[in-house]
Amino acid sequence: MVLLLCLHLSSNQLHANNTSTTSNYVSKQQITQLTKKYNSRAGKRLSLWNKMMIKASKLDELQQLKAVNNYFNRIKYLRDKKHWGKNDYWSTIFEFIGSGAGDCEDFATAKYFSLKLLGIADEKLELSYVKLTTRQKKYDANHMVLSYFTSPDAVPILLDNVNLRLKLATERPDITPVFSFNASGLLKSKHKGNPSKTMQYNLAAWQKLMQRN
Amino acid sequence: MSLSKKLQIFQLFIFMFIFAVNFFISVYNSKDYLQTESYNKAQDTATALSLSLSPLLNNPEDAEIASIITAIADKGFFKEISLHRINKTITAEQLLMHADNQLLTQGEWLLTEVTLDKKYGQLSTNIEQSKIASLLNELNDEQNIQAVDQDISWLRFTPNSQFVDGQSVQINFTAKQKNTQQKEITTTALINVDRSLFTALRNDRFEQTPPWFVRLFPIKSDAAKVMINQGWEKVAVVSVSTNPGQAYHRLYQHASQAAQYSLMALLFSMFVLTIFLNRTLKPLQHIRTLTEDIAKGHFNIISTVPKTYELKQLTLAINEMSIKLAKFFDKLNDDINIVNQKINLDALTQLPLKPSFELAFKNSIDSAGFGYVFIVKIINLASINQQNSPSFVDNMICDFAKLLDNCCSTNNQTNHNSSAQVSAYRFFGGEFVLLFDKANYQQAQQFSEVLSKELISLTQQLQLTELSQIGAAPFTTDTDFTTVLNSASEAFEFAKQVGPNEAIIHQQPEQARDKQQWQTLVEQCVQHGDFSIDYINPGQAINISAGDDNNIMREAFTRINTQDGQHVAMATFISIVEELKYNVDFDQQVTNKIISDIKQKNLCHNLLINLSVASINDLAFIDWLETVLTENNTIAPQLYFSISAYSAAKQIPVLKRFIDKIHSLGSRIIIKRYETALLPLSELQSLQIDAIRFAKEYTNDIATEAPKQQLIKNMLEFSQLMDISLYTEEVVDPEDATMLAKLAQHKTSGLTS
Repeated sequence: MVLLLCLHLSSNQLHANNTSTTSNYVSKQQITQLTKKYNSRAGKRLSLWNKMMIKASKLDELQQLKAVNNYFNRIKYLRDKKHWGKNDYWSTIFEFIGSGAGDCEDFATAKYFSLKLLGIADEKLELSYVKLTTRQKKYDANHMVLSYFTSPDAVPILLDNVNLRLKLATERPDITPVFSFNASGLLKSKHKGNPSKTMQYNLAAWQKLMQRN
Repeated sequence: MSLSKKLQIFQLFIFMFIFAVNFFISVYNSKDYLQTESYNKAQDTATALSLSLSPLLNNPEDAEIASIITAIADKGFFKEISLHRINKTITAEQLLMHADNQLLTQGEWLLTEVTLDKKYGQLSTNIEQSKIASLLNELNDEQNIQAVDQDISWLRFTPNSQFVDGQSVQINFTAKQKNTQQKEITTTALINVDRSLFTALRNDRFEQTPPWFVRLFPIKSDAAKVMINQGWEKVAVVSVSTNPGQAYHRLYQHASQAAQYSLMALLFSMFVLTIFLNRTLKPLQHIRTLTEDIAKGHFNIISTVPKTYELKQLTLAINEMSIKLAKFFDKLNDDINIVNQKINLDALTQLPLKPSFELAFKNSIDSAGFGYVFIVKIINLASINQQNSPSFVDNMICDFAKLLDNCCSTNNQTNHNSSAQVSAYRFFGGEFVLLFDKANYQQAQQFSEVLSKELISLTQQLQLTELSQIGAAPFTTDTDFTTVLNSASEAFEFAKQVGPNEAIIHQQPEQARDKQQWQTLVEQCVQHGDFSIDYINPGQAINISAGDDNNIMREAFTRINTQDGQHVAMATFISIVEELKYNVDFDQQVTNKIISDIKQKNLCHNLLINLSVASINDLAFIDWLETVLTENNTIAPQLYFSISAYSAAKQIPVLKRFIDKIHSLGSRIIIKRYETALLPLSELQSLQIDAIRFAKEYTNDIATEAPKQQLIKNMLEFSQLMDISLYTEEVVDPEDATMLAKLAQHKTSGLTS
């Protein structure tokens, strides 16, 4: 019963694009609901995300990376303690867009999910734990970025919310890699026991849900 | 198989099914859990190893790598820990060195166009890497766009998953001469690829787990793999697969415990169920016992009603049935008694009739064997009848009978300490007979004096000159019925000579032969078997029990003749036999003779054999009979051992024991000269009698006497319910025979409260 409720809620949150029939990744009703839950700016953000996704769906992979990276990097950075009152909270893409703020994991996971929706293979994406050396005190030294691999043995391109541009990892001397995980596997482990959140990162379930809407 | 056992077996099957399902589900769940945990452990170990080995991979030959892997493998949890590179990087120089064309080993060459058969894997070069960087520059709108490498300085071979390390791959390439770039050679190079860096193997160990268990519950040990990065470059993969031995050990322990606990639970539940069933079904035993009692004629009830609904309803139903049956039999018994009374009592005077006197006389002979018989007649009854009205005559007869009855009662009460008892009977008309059982001459004399005085008083009251006379004669065991009556009549005639209401008492009994003669005759018959047996018609069967498939019966009638050919009265003979205590021997002789006749003459019908009370009371006789019937077990079912109702009534416990023994040997019991006053119906039920033969008094004139018809009907109902055969003594009158045949059609009317 709880799972069904979560499915219903998530179906009301975002509406993915079925390329064969619809061009929108979210419906007007869902934008309205997000607006109602958060505020009008949240609704606008969601609407912009939808537009960005529609546009990016026609681009090549590198340009898709740029579009997604640029969109999310405009959202405000705020640590979990201040934003959610918790030490470590991984928000969903809905919560991230709706609340208009998040920390490095939120940026990385939102970008990951958006790129997956655009069709980028899961094997090309990794969530990387890194050490960030920067003078900006607002960022944690424990940082996370989304890594994109053109090929399995290639140097990844980093999608980061600190350095807003797409860069090869070797061109980021301020970032030292610690460990990388397959993104979907990490998210499953992280949200184990929380089916609504797990479901959101399960692309197959998401697409099915969208088809019903 | 009892209900209790069936339920226990059923419960056992159910439990075994539930246990088997639960057991396998539990074990499989545990297996899955252990498998997952093993994999997770392997994954965590692989992750930890990857972090530890990452800084050491700059020098793959570093001994520390092998030490770390070996140390982890030696813990015993893992089957295999292997470290191998993801890909193989080949520099341009190395490729040229391995080229088929030896020209390329000399001079400076630049590589262009390297290709590889895709069945091996993928090939990438530094050019692709620089292209990406350049594209990113463009994407970011940077002014300084990184130039794309033109020359291939290195290439990286990434094998696919099917690639087996150690094999060589063929790389096709084109090389141009550096500087001049005039010469161009297309060739191939064979490069050996072995990515393996270190592998530690530990054999599977299942020492504590039986092989059959391992086969039954196979545990997969998938390898957990973690990529090792150096910086941003993926350089190696560490693969860890667990040793399932420990998992099997834990699973086996779990399965063993589960089986043990289940077995204990099974035994406990069986124990509890057994107790519960015994308590719950115990009332069924009571019900069974009650139904058996009802079949035997004991109409008990179950006082403690069980609480279980179905058993409670059954118990109440059985109790109700028992009560109804008891009431039915009581009513039947009462009806029979009433009819019996009507048959045996004179309607006018309410005194017992002649048949009752005969029975009482025979019983007296059987018991004590002495007493006095008085004949008291109203003389000139015919002339009194002519001179007076019928009501006067009836009243006179009633007063006379009442006088006799009162005298008997008074005498019995006065002499209550004495065993001598006198009773009055009406034979016919004005003829009355008194039986003074166990009386001596003085007692008879005293009684006659009292009687005479009373008669004188009545005579005066009736204003008659004379009323009656009294004649009495003694009897002993030697005396038969006819003889004593004749003697008493003789005395009566003498009394008529003496005067009105006078009494004459003979002192000596009439005997056809003396004691010594009887003894000689008895000894001769018993010791030498000097007698014959006739198989006569015992009478008419009016109900045949369901257990008797041979409805033709004959009575074994013993005939004794003296040397001079005189017929001996059997009643007297039997009395002498009893007095001389030859009963058992005589009964043995008769039984042997009958069995011999059955074999020799091939007699097929049922046979009625008379036995004495002494025989059924004699353990030696019973043992002897058991031997005989066991030896002749095919003949035993034909034999009906007969005992008189009077004898049976005196020795109920003895008779019960005898009947049980006879039944166990396959023979049957018949009660002859049956009267309800002697043996009530309830006794018949408890004794489990197989057949009854009525005294002839019950069937003589039955065609015209409704009470006798009703008696026979009631007895038929009883016999049909109790499955008892009914016989009558020989019926002479054809009308009586016809009536009996008609009554035999009567069926049980059913129970009414």
